[in-house]
Amino acid sequence: MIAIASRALPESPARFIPRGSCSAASIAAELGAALDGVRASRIGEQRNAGDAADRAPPAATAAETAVADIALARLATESRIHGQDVDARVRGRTISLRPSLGRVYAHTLSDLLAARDLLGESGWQFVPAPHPSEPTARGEVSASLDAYYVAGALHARDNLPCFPAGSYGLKDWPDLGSLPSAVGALKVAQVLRKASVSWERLAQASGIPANEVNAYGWAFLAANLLTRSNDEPGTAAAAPAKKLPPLLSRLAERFGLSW
Amino acid sequence: MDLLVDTNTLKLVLCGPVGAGKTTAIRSIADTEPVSTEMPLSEGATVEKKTTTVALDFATVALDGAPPLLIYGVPGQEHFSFMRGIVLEGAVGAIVVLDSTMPAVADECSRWVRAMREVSPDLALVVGVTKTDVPSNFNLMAVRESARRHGPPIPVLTFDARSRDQTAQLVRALLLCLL
Repeated sequence: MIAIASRALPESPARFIPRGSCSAASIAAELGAALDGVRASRIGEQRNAGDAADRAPPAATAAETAVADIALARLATESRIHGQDVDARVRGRTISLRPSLGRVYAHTLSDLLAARDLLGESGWQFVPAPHPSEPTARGEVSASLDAYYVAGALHARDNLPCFPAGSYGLKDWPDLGSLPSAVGALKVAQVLRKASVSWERLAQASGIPANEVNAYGWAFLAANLLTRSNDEPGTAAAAPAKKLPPLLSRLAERFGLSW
Repeated sequence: MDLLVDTNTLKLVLCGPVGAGKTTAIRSIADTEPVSTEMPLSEGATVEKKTTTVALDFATVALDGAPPLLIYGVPGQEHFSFMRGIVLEGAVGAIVVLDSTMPAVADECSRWVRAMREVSPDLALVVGVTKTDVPSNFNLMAVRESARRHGPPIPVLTFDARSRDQTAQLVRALLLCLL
């Protein structure tokens, strides 16, 4: 588990992911089952607590439940919505998430931005899109779904659970052209594109703060970009960083890519 | 000195169909006003697009302690396709610029990536897609899929060609492909 200042899931993430599954969907299903278990155990505890009405659930219980219900974690792990075209509602705002198109839509820019900043919160409702590939909330604003998740994850980086241990690779480069501030996400993508990497080593390999790398993990998983390798968690190392020739290094520095 | 193949300078090439935003993208990141060979469009002129590049766009980006980056834009018309091989010679990579509002943007992507691969199979490539703020049925996944037909996945990034920061993000992605 990455040692960061994020809230941890209540069980060892290594237990969440048995070996042998490779697709993003199976990662999501396994994590989803684990998070469902968290929710179920919390519900059970709350029922027991109800028997003793004078005894409130421990504070940690509420926190753990909240972690499991965070929108980004749900989008990354709930098989019902992971990688599916859904309409999402939170605090009176509606957005249309369309992974089949790689886009998110909203009626207004304020809906789009307000919802994005709530991706690290609970209280979302997700409804399967009545006509997949057609945005219900089409009005008139749309954005890159990958960039949307990354921006939301960065905004919520201190609320996100630790990303589950394991070795991951990337199916595709994330669409981050419209998010030039997220240079770190591109660097992480580059490391993941080269080889499957244990998530614990990603921060070291990419030279990026651990809580930022953690946020990218949830964003990439929600965006259906991750694959999982069969290596034992923790054994896959990042490929040694290749050095750019001096002239290219100057160019990289000029464009804000320094290591 | 032959600027097109000088090994002591870096060269970046932007290519793509007419009207996609190549000249705009070059202008947004260059330190110098591009030297353009723009001529009035003989057909298909619109309010936004009245001219087109007929030979080359050229601009530079200053680098600390090194010769400047040379940026070339190659014309989109098919009858100028012979120029691609000449301009791509010695380039560190190429950015294919596409217009998301084109009806067959995925097919255009496939055509341009294939054309680049034919000229230089190992060339680092990035696809940049413009005008995604315009309401359309743009499908990123279809563009990714069409790019993937011609080799391993390459970055496909939507961006605003008028934005220096967003165009720079494409250059970053290209550089990361070289690592």
